[in-house]
Amino acid sequence: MTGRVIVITSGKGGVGKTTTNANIGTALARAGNKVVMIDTDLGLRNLDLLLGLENRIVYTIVDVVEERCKLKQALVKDKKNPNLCLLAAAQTRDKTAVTEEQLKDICDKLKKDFDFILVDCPAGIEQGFQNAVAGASEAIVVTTPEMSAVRDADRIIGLLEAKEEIKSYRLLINRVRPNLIKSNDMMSVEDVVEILSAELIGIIPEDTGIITSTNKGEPIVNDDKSLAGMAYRNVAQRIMGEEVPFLNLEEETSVVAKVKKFFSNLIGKEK
Amino acid sequence: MDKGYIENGFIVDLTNTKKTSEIIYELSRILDMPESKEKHICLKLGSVDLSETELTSIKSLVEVMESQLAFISTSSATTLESATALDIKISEFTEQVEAPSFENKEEEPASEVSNALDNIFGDEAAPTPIKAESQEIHPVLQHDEIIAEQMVEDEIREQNNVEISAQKVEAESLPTLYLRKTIRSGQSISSDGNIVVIGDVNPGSEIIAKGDITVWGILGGIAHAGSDGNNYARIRALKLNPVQIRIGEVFARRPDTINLPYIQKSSEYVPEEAFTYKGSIVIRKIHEES
Repeated sequence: MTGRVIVITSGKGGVGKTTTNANIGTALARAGNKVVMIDTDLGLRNLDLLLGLENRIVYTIVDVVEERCKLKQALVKDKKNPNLCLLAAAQTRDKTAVTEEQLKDICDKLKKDFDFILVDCPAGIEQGFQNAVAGASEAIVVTTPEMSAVRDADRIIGLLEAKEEIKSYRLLINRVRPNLIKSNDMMSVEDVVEILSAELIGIIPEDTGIITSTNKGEPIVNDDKSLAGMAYRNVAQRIMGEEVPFLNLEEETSVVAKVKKFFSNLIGKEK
Repeated sequence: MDKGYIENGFIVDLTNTKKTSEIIYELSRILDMPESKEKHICLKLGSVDLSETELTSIKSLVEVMESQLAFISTSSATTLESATALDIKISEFTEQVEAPSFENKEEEPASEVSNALDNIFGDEAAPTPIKAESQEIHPVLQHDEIIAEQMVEDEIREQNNVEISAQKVEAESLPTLYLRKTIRSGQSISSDGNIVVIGDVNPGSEIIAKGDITVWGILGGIAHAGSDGNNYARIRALKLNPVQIRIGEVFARRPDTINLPYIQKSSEYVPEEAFTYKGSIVIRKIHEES
C-alpha cells in the first residue's frame, strides 16, 4: 500500500486548517480509508483537542524522532473509528525539534500502512511550514473570503509551486457566508478562485456548529444534519476522486426562504 | 486615459465608461495626480445618463480635488438636461470646430464633436510616438491646422518625440524575459531587459526590469520599469492596479481614494499604459484608434 500524503496549509492563522484536517480525516476514515493525521504544529498543538483525543496521548512525534518509542506506539487511535489515527505534536517543544528529513522519513514509513496521511501545517512560512510540506506530494490550501487570508494563500501557493515534491494543490474556501456575499460585503467564491487561479476542492459555509463541535472534541462531519459537515464529506469524496457537485449555499442558509418555500409548497398542494 | 493639455486645464476622456461609478473612479484617479491640481477640467462623458444629483457629486468631487469643472460634453439627453439645470457649461469647442450643434441631433453630431475634440486636444498633446504617427493619416486633420498652434505645447511634443523614439529603440534592443504564470505574493522577478508576463501579477509581488514591463493580466503588485534610471520605460497591463509604480526615477503610489484591495476580473478590459510625462507618471487607456 502506498498512501497519499496531503498537507493542509494556509499561511494565515485562524482560517480553519486544523478544523479542516480533523473533518476531512474523519470523513475519509468513515468512507473506509485508513487515515493517519500528523500534527506538525509543535508547541501549539490543537488537532488532538478537536478529535477529543488529548487524554490518550502518551508519545508524540518528538518522542518518535528522538527514538524514545516506535512509530506505531505513538499513533493514537480514534475513539469511534478504528481506521483513524493521530500522531500528535509535542506541546512542550518548538518547531526546531523535528527536521524536514525526519518528517519525510515518518511520512514514508506511514505510507506503507495507510491510505491517507494528512499533515496539519502550522501557520506561517517558517520552519514549521517547511517541515510539514517536506513529506507531502499534495496540498490543500485553506483560505477564507477575506483579503488578508487570500493574500497569504497566494504567498503559500507561490511557495508550493516552487516545491518539486508537491504535485498538485487545491483550494478550500472556508467560512463562506452566502448572505454577506449576496449583499456584496464579502468576496465571492468566484472572486477568490480567480484571484488565486487555483483548482477548487471545497466550499465550506460558516457554521456555528463548528464551535460546539470543537469544544466537544467531536468533528462536525459526524453530524449528518450539519451543512458544513456535508460540505466536508463532499471534500473527502473529491479527494477520493469522485465528482461531487458543490453545495448550493444560497438556498440552504436562509431560514426565511426555507419557510417561504415550505408555505408555497403547502399552498400549491391545496390547489 | 486621454489627457490632452489645454491652456490652463485638460480634457478627461470618459467616453468609454458605462456607469457613474466608473466615471467617479477614473476621475478621482486622474485628479489625484499632483499635476491635476487647480486646473480647468473638460469632461467628455459619452452616452452615460447622469441625474442632477450625480452630476452635482461629480462637480463637488472635482472641487474637492482643488480643480474646477469648466465644461462637459455628452451625448446623453439626460446629462444635458442636468448640466443645464446645474448651470454647467456644455462644451464650447463645438463652435470652434464648426461641428453641427448636438442639441438638435443627439447621436451622430456628438461623436463628431468628440472626434474633433480628440484631434484638437487629445491626440495632439499625448506624448506617444505611436499616436503622433497615427495623426498623420488621420482623416480629419484640417481641424488640427486651425487650432493646434494656440492650444498645443509644440516644444514639449517635439522634444518628447525625439527622446521617446530614441528610447523606444533602446527598449527593443534589450532581451526579454517571458513568463507564462501567475506572479504571486512574495515573489520577485527582476531582469536586465524587458519583462512580459502572461498571467496576473498579484499584490505583494514585485517586478523590476531595466526595460519595459508588459502584463497580460491584472498588475496588482509593485512594478518598476527602467530600473537603471530610464525614465522613458513603459508599463502596460490589461488592468493597472499596482500598489506602487516606478518608472526610472519617477515614483507613484495608488491614490488612497481608490484603495481597492482587488479587481474583479472582467472580459471587457481596456489595456492601460503608464509612462512618465513632465516628471510624473501618467496612466492612459490604450484605445483601438491609437
